[in-house]
Amino acid sequence: MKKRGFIPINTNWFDRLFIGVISYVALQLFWMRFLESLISINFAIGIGIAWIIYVIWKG
Amino acid sequence: MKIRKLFGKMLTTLLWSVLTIITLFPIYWMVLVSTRTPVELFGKPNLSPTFLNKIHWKNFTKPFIDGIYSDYLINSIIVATSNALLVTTLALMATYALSRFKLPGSESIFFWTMTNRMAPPAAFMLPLFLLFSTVFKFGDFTLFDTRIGLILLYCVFNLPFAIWLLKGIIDGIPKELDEAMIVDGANIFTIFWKLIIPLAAPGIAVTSLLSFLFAWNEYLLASTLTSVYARTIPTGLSEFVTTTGTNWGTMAAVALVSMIPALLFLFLVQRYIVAGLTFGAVKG
Amino acid sequence: MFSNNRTGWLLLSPTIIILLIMGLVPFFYVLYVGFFKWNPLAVDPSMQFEGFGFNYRRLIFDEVFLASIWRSIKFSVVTLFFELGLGFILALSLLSSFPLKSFFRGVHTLPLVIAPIVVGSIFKLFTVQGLGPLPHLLKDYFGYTLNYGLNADQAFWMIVIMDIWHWTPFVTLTLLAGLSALPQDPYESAKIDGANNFQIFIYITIPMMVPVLIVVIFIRLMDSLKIVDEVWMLTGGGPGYATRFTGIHIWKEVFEKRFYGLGSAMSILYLYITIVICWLLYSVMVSRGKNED
Repeated sequence: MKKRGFIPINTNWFDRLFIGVISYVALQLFWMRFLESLISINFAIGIGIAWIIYVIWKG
Repeated sequence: MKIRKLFGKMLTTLLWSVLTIITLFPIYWMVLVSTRTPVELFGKPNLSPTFLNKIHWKNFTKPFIDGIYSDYLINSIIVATSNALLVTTLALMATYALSRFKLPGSESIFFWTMTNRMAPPAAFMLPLFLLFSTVFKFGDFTLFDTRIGLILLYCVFNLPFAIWLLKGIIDGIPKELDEAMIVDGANIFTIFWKLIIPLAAPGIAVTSLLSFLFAWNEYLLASTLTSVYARTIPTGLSEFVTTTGTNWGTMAAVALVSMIPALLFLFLVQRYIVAGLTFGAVKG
Repeated sequence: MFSNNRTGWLLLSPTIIILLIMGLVPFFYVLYVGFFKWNPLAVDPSMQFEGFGFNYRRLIFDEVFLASIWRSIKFSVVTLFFELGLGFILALSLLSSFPLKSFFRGVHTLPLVIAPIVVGSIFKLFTVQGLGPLPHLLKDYFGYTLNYGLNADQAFWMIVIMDIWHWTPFVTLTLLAGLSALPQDPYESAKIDGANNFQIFIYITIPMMVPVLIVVIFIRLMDSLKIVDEVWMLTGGGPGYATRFTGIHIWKEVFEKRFYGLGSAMSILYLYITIVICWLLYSVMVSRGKNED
């Protein structure tokens, strides 16, 4: 059930989803504050979703 | 060496005496204010214990007998007592289930109940206010401004620590006792009544006292979720802030009265308060 | 031991139902409202959808809100620093025996059971200009003018002092419980090796106390990030924005200006920050536990 990926603690799938969502929200907020005037928020959404999937899969 | 030890002892006693004065002095001043007339409070603060000679009882009778604060007091008593009873009952049932049954996902449920305690109430006051006043209604009855609303709501904050406190105790009761009773044909109620409640009695008492205290002390949600009928003593206390030209004597009297349960329970729960506040992560 | 699990679920269900309705439903509701523009006092009092990021985009540039979060974090760290220091000294002193110890300890427990709102009232009565003895004493003996109704720095530090008064006993008693549970063997062998008291404290007491310290830090941080009641009573968030912590800021925006949509987004961000801090500390706690196994 629990496994060890690149996150330095043992996690189950829910922990990894949680970590993914937490970092997704952080990415969106920072993007809105600093980068949105240059690059559209849709890029952040794309990167964020890819990141969540990657964390759940490999974390 | 011996002199050094004696010196250390004196220093410690001195430190603690100063600390005790710092702790008690503001409370002492509140007692003084609550027993004086507004005229006596005017000017340079008089720190002598004038309440030994004369008490201005009007500070107490004005809010509690002539005023609305007797209603607040009754609300507080009803809400805190019912909440303590409800929390203890539910926590006892839940803890027994978590302790004796092999329920799938019970560890996650246990962890989830604990996270409820960590949430800041300020983040929940808006959704609860909206839900209570518009969504949670049954015909004409809304949960907003009712005692039942508060009683149910305080379970969110009290159940987690109650379950945590009781879990250690119920886990400590040997399962063989339950099994022996089941073999004798006892049902679940008999087990609770004859076995669990008598053996866990001290823990149950502490749980209900602490639940009572936390419910009695809660302010933020009580003030946002009530307006007229279900206001509790802490919300009444905050009403003194907004009125112009605060009557300090009355405010001190109300604060003093709302401190009474805390003072009564202090001696009973003193040994367990640490376990209650740290969720038993550190045994007190 | 019972033939089926139905009884177990039946016993657990009231708890789960209450926590669902009073805990989880409000969370999802506030998440939902946070995506809308909604002010019942505005020209259009209905909920309007203007994109998922509408309120969050406003908040992330809202200097007052960001300042309130920063203020809450600063406040939590400052009080934690003083309470840990003071609490550790007091807990160590309680390990030795001295006259009237249990009396002192009992009085020390007293602030813990007093309601935050009452603590606010006690300090208001004690420190307010024209009534309280503290401004008078400071003026007469030190020539220092205390008027936190006007002075922003004084207001902030008054809240800090009040929090220290209220919660140091908690730190003391928790650390005392941890200290009295420590094994005695390392101390004895250190004494045989000729270590002095200071060395024993640094190399033996502190490392063994780390788990308890993390619990204390965890609980104190969570509680001081939540602070509302005492501040509301003592300063009402003023003067200006000096003591406007996140909880108070939300209260003002929601119940004075009726910004429901924006307030929901604030609640979510507030919750988000609490969860992140909480989770970071929790994983530190868990990973330490793993290392010791």
